[in-house]
Amino acid sequence: MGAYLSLRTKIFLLLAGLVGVNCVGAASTLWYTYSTQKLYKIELSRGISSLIAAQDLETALIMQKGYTTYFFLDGDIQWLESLKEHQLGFRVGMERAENAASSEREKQVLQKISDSYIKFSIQREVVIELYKEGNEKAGAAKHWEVRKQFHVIYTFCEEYKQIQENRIDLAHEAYRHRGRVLAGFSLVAVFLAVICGFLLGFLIYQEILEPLRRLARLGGEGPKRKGVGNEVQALGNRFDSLLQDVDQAHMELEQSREHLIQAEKLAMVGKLSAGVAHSIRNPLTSVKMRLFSLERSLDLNDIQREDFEVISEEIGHLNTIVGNFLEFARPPRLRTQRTSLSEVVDMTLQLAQHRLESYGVEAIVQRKLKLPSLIADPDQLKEFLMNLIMNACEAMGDGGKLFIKEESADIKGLGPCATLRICDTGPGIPPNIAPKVFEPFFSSKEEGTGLGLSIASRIITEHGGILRMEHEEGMGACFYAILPLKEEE
Amino acid sequence: MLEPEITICVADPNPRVRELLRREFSSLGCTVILARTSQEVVEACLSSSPPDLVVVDPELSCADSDPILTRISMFMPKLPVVLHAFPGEALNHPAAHKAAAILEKGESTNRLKDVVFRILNERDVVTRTNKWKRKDITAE
Repeated sequence: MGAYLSLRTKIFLLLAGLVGVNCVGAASTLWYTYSTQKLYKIELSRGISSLIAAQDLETALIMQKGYTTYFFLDGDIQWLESLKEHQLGFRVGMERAENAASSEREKQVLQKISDSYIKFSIQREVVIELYKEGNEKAGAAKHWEVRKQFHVIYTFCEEYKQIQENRIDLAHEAYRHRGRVLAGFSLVAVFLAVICGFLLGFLIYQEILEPLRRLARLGGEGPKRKGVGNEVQALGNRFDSLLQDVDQAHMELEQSREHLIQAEKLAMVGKLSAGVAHSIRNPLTSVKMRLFSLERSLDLNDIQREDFEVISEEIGHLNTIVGNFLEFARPPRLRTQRTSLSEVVDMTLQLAQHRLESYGVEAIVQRKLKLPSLIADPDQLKEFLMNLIMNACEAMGDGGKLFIKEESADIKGLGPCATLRICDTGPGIPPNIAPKVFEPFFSSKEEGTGLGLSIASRIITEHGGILRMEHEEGMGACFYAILPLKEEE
Repeated sequence: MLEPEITICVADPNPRVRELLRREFSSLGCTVILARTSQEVVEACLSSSPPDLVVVDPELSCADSDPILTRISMFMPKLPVVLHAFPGEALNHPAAHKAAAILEKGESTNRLKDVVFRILNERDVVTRTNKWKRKDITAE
């Protein structure tokens, strides 16, 4: 269930639980303490009051017995006056006891005391009268009965006193019991508060502090730091850094947008240019073919022939520029199929045979085994190879050798690959222009378009491969093409 | 009895090129059918005197999405077709494998005529018609 609750809800619930447990615990303790004290106070005061009353009753009774005995001994009427005072004290004690009596048993005992005392008082009055009349013998005989009655009353008073002592003991016991209950309740409240606090602490650590620490650790440059001190401060710093990054990204995005607009404009210009180039090529081809036709029928002197040849060559050059430009402007679109690079090499050499012968170049294929098939556009690969072959032919000029070495290799980062190493015996590429050979429109030849190697590089890149220039001892220009033998997607 | 003639269909979007090739092949005694569109090529192929060979530019306007070579091979699968295309495009043409030969446009027409002769010779057309001799080309 916890998984469905949000962090905010969990923290709120735990805080509410913690506050609730504390409040309920404190309020209950206060109430319980107050009620216990109140109960104890009532019970104790009532019990003590009743005990004092019982004590007073006993004292008054004993005093009455003493004054009666003194009277019997010396016949002094003064003792009877004192006896009356204690009779009054007994009645007051009885009233207090009756007022404080709450149980039926107390009331019964008090009733017995009252009844016995009345009987005792009547019998004692009879004895006093006998003594006053001088009938001491009859009075003494009757006195024994009064004494018995006194013992009965005294026993009831003792019983009443015992009841009050028991009552006080019970109040004590109830107080102790309530104290134990309160302690148990407090213990439960403390236990619940500790659990809520622990859960809250765990939640804050797990869901807030630890993520904060991780975020703070991510902040800054360099490797992760072990201690981040104040996570919130570190996070604040990180946030400031992120804001700066956002500003930077925003700025770069703006620049990218401007570049994109510029690129779109350039793409449009390129598209228009390609259209223009395509339109130019048609009449240009016709002109070239007509020139060849004209050449057959004209009888030209040396100067006219030179002019004618220059015109033919320039038209041919124009045609090459337009053709290369169109190829360069072609949108990247591969028509892939399973094909072998060895077959591509054979077919391209077959197509280029006429050109190779016209340049007096001998192509030598170094192949141990036919290369495994790969997913590629064979026409584009032919185009790539043709560009390198033409480049080599033009570089060698007046004959030479072109070595095409086929190999399978496991290239780091690309896995199993088919590779082609194409080397010629020409003058090679000077080191100062080597880094620029794949740039579009860069050419070291006077009549070059500067697009041949750029197109070749682009084709290999579109296939997920690499084309790079290499230096090989005893060779002219050397190009190394790597094509991954990836499975069909 | 009339001697059978070699008929060549020249299909090119450029009228100047078409005219040049017509003139070149006519000078060798061939009958030349000119076609501006792929539809005209198909019509020529389906006519009562179909061509013995077609010289075609793959850029020829096509009514549907099928390349011209596909359409020709559909109607006349045995008809030899010479692809006469701009440099680069000939190699990349998807139906290039169906062509009997691929030649770059803009070169001397001698090479085109040489290739056409070789193909027709291989298919026994030249021998059968006895109209086109090797010397007709090499003499120029």
